[in-house]
Amino acid sequence: MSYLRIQDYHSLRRMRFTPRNRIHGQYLGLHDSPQQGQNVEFREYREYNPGDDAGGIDWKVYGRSNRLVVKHFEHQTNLDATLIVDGSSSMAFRGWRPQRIKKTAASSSRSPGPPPLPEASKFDLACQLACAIAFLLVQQKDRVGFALAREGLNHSLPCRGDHKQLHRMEHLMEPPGQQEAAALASCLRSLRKRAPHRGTLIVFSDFMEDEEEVFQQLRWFRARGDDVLLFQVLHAEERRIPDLGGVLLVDSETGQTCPMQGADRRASYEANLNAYLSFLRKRSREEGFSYSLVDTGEPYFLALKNYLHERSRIR
Amino acid sequence: MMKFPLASISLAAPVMLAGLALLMLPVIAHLLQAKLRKVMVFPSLRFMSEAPQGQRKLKRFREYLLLFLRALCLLALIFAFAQPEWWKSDAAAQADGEASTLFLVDLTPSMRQQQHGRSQLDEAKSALRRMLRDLEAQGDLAMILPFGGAEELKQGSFTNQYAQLRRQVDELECGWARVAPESSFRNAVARLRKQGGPGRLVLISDFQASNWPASLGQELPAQIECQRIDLSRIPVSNLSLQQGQISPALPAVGSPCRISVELVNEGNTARQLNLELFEGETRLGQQRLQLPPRSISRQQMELSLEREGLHHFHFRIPEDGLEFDNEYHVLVDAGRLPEIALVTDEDPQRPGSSAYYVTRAMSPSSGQNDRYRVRRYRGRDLEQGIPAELHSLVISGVAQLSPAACESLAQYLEQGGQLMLFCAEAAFRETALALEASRPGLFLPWQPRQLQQVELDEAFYFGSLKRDSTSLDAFTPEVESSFPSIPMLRRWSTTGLHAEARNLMSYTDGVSALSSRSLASGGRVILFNATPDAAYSDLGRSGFFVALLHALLERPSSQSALQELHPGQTLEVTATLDSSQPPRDVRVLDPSGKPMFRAEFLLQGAQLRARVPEVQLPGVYELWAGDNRLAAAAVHVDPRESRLASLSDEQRQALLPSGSMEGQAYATQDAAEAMLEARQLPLWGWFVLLGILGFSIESFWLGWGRR
Repeated sequence: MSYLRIQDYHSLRRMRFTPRNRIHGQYLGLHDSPQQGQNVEFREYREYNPGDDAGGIDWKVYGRSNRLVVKHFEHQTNLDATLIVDGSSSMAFRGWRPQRIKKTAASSSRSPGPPPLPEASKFDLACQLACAIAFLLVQQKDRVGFALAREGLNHSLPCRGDHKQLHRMEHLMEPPGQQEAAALASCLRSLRKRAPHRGTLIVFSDFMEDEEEVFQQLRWFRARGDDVLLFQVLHAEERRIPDLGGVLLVDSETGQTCPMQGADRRASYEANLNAYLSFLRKRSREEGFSYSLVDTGEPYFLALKNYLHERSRIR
Repeated sequence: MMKFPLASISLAAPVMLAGLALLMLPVIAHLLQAKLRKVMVFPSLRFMSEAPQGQRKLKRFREYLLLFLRALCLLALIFAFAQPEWWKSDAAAQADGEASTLFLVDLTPSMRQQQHGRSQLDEAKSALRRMLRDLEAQGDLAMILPFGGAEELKQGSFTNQYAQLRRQVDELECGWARVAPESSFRNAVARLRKQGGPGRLVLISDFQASNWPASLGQELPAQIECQRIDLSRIPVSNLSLQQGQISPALPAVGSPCRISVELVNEGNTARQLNLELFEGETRLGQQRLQLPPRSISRQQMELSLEREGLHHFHFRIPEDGLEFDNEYHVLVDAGRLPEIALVTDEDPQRPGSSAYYVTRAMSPSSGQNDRYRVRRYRGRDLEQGIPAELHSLVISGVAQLSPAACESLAQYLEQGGQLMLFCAEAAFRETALALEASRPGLFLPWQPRQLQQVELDEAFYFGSLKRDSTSLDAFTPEVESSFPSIPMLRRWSTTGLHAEARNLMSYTDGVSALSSRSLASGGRVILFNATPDAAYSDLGRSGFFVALLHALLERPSSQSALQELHPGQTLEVTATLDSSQPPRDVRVLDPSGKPMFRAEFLLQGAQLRARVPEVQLPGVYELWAGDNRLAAAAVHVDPRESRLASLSDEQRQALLPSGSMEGQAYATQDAAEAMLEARQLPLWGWFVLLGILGFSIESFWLGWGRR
């Protein structure tokens, strides 16, 4: 399944994904870096310390002032970003009534950007966002890696900067099956070994598992200096349950059941969910993660555009 | 019928209570509700918390309320189907005690009229069954007295064995004979009088205007009330066939004939239809007709019969509510072209002679299109004898008949022959004398006295026809006005008019111009006091002469074959046997092909006569001898039974005896409802209303609950 279409590429071409801070990269790129480099743009003079590269001494300054100074230039490097998509069963939720999703898609077709996929699940939306961000990064000569969290680290791709990486990613994006947990914490733990350099970690998940373990692992990446971005993906009908009559709800991952009749539990559910979302937002801010909530009710393109706009404003 | 003594509520259809088993459905649905719930996969179940206790109680209460409402809806509908009726406990109803009710049921053929697949008889049976249910609950005695039905229907007596009465209702079947209801009404009143006590006479009929009199005209005792149950009134739109005819009545093989039938449109709208003529299963012709409203129209078709013997034709029109009058049978016995012997000494080829005119009048085409075949004889040829199969013998222009010829003529007349004499010639006196000498008093209606002859421009003229003669019925007053202008130059003055003779036409001065005399042997003598010879009169040159000659020579006996026969009348069929073979296995078959054992047979010489008293079925009855069909006759339902217009409201009011019917006649669409309304109050409507109310509350509750 291809999550980006031709019209998606045309729309994404005008966007840029930039890190919020200076980054340490390995290769020459477009992003500012605290490292010294060979750029033409002069940054500063600094006293020569033994051990500095003698090639950097500005001999003309020495001739005028008899001081040994080293001439520093601005350095721009590339970004290594690792995208993690939650592949648990809970991400397969497409809403209660597929026709309602169709109606939503039709009504939002007037918004700018490409139309969303019909009857999109949370997993579809996460993959669309991941592909879109991967496309932006590759287009900027940055490198993108990918990991699918399904019962731990299911599939992973090391960071690469070519366009074929997009196809490799889409090839690994298999829709979730039944009663498969993400084990996102386990996935992050496994990823620590496979991503030795600092970079950007972007997680797409509904965070319907033990958030403490996940945050513990994410805290390690943050401590290493990575930029951690969290996209919580929810379904529009998951946030507000319509009138379903008498139904028996079965948890998609654990198999637990819960009867529901009419609107008897709806209010408490929505209150609990909103509380959880607030908690995630607050905790992310405290930990220094970038948190963003997207749902299937709006096109992924708009969600991405809003996020990038907000990101640039904060910067 | 199930009756609850305390509640005074009866159920007309208690078998519907079996539907109470359906009450298990909402209960089962309620019990299985949890199991039958729709299962949906949900990703955020961890945020679902237990519902509050109060909410759970409200939910449970709502479920029980819904269960109750649904059960109530079902219960109300089941009771509505069981047709509950509340019995009024008024004193008048109780005071009736064991009354006797006699149902006088009309079973005449008009009750076969159908609408939407149900006949009037079916309506009557439905009304009877419901009224019997009513009476059974009251414990009254009842009796069913049909009139006009099949013979085998038992009339029974007053009984409270309602199962037997219901069987009797099931066996009711319409008859075919038209029966006047007066005698049955008298019989019914007599039975009620004999029964004693309070009585009720219920008339169930379509009250056909052509069958019911203006008034039944019998005073009823005070304790007998009379009720009238009008069956549902079907708009009158019946089309019927009647009065089929064939002309000539005895057509000959190869000669043209016309077969006709009357179409009656009784409805108030013009109708288009196809009239078809069949012989057996072969369709001979079809006419597309437009019949004006309330009209009678005679339609005819031309035919040429190709073989001798019996032909069975039937007309057919499209079927309507009343089927028996949509087909009409016409039976025709075709024979050879009838032969007329013209006895004359003149040359028939000489223009102006009497033989010339008579020959052309009787056989104008000299071929197959003629109605008669004319053979010429001379006077002396009669001495050799006269063939018995001759249709008629015409004598004109004969000089004198010999005694042997007169003897032959006498024998011919004694065998039933027909003789026509033209007598204005001078030689007629000798002929008359010779005939009188042969058989005194046998031949002539009158005696010739003197030959009268006019001079110059004077002439004798005919006066008027005697309209009492059936032979001359065909002459309208317009035609009749033409013949007094025909001049006659010679005639005989007459004397001695015979007592058996009938003067058909006279001269202006009263002298007989045309007379006939029917003999006891069946023979007939027609005496014309004129002759068509141009030297004696202008009679032969008049067109009236041809029509008059044909009308006179038509044998009246042949008309009887076309008289309509109706069920209930006596059927008589006559056939001429072949004398060479004695008849064997003689039988009469009814329209269904079954032999009729009530048939009586009488053999007179070569004539075999079959007689069946009171035939029942309409259709064609056939007389067979061995493998030969000798004769047949058609029986049709009385056309008055096809007149379906019923009595007007005023006529219906006037029909029943005065004083006994005040306020007792029920003219409703459903007759049984009338009886029920008298004593019972149907409650099913209330139960339906209760069911709808429960359903509405349930719908409202569900809607409110969802909001």
